[in-house]
Amino acid sequence: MRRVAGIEQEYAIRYSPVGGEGRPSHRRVFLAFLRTLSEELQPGIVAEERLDELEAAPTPGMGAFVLNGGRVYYEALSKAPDGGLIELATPECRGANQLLVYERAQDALLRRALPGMRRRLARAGYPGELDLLKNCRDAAGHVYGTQENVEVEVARGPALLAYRALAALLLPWPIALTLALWAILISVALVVCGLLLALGLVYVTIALGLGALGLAGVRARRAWSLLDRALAWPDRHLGVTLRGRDHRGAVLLHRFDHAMSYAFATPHLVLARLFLFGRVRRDLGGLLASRVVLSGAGVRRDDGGFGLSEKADAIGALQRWHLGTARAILDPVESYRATQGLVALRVRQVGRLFARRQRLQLGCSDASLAEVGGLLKIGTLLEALALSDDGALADLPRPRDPVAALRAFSADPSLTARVPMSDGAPRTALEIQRLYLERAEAAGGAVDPERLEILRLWRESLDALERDPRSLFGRIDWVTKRELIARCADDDASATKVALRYAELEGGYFRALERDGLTDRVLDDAEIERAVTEAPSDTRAFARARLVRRLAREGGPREIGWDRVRVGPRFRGKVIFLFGE
Amino acid sequence: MTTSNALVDTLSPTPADPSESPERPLETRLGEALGRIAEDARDAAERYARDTEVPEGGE
Repeated sequence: MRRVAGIEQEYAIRYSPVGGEGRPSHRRVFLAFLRTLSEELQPGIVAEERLDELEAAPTPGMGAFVLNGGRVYYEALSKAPDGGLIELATPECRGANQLLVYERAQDALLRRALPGMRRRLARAGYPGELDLLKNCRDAAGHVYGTQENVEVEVARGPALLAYRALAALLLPWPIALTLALWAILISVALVVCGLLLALGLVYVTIALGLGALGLAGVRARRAWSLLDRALAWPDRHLGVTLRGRDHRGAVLLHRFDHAMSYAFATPHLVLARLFLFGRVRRDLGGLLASRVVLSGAGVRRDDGGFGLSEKADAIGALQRWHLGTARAILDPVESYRATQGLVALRVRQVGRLFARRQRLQLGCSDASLAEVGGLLKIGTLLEALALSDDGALADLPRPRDPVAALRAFSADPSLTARVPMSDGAPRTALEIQRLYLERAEAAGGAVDPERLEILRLWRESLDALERDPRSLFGRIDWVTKRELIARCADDDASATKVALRYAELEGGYFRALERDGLTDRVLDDAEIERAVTEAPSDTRAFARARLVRRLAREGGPREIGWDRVRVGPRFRGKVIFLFGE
Repeated sequence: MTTSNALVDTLSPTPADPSESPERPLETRLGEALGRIAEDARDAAERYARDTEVPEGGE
């Protein structure tokens, strides 16, 4: 059976004012998307009262699961709640082709939502131009974008045993820390509430006394005013409101949660770095460093030069080992998500910490517009993981420093840069790709038309890159973007615009080429259309999507997650667990 | 002739093969598309970078 994989994509927002109006906050844009989705495209996907709640008090991470079992949400840093991105995650998919279909279905869903979003924003006083960008870097150098997720075997034998034993020993740490911090928080809250209550009683007593003595309703109002100011003090000085709903309270809690996550997760991430994913680091470092020649989105670098990858320069480690790490090629997300489950007493989530197969997230992925490049990005990764599982890559020469290799390859559109390798023979990105391709072609195995097609495209693309990269126009993003810049830009500003507008979903340059039939397709529009509202049939997304559809029709309180769904009110609802991958 | 070949031809000093004349519309369409993109790229390019900026990054 094909491996389970998924893609998360953050979309940047382009708003161009047409008059003198300001720009809407990105939260407002996201809420316009959520309302369009729930009122027009997928009715009832979010309960009406929930939409009203979110508009009154937007919360970090707000979002919804959609009809195909994937998720849409608002991704923002707690320090900048208004400047976030619209993030879509595919449902769990099997195989490269299916995953690419669902990734394209996300683009289609957003594209279809744009008119409704524009109408809603215009009614709110923002009639400007709106579009979304499927990219990973803005003109100021902020990096965001794409993450691939794959299920992998984390370790075997003694390494797995040692990891599990040490991870079990670490479990009390988050519990002890949580109890201590909550004890402190509750104590402080009790003291503050007691003081406020006492203050209120004093003023009420005085006010009533003054009133009884006929000394003035004016003074009574003054007393109430002072009480009101006392209640407003935390709002002004701490960002926490005691008198109504305000997002700043949620932001403060979000920050607290983030700090807790850091403290909980770091020991587990260090443990994962010491014991887990060793085989993936050894076998896939070379593939992921050199894959930019096939899947790089292309970027205008800060020095005005052209690079292959929007993300490469932001990658600082091969595997993340604490939450503060610069982006890493490999991110063992279960190591810190599980600790959050511990705090929320979610046993199944904690149990995943000990699983032999866990989700691994790739932080080095660029966003793909070109279908051939997108298919090769996922296809070569899944192929290399399968080879690694079979032990077929154990003796493959690998870059001595995969992070340095990734940066070197990204900075070299001539494709001639060589990096030091474990066998002492420096190689180019294309030569490293050939090493993997040859192992894949030699592996044989069952005849799988999808796999054969990926191997064919892989070989043809490497041949073409060696001969003349321009022959991959419309097939590989960095090639296409570089040619557009070379042919269509007059100066720095227009070159930057070409690099950015290439990625716009509706009015973008790649989209224009696609509409004119000037790009090479590997997918069928009908299957993308189906994937907007139907889940893959062979993962747990299928069960989730059925529940999403039923609950959208029936309404009522609900909480939907990746591995469980609660139908009904909190604490009293029925919880349905979604089994499988 | 594929799109990519059409691009190589349009960029190349070598004249296109006359035997491929049925495929000329592809080259034409490519040339027109590149022309439209070039025109749009010149329009308010600096403002476009500001309009697409992600204030604090995501992820």
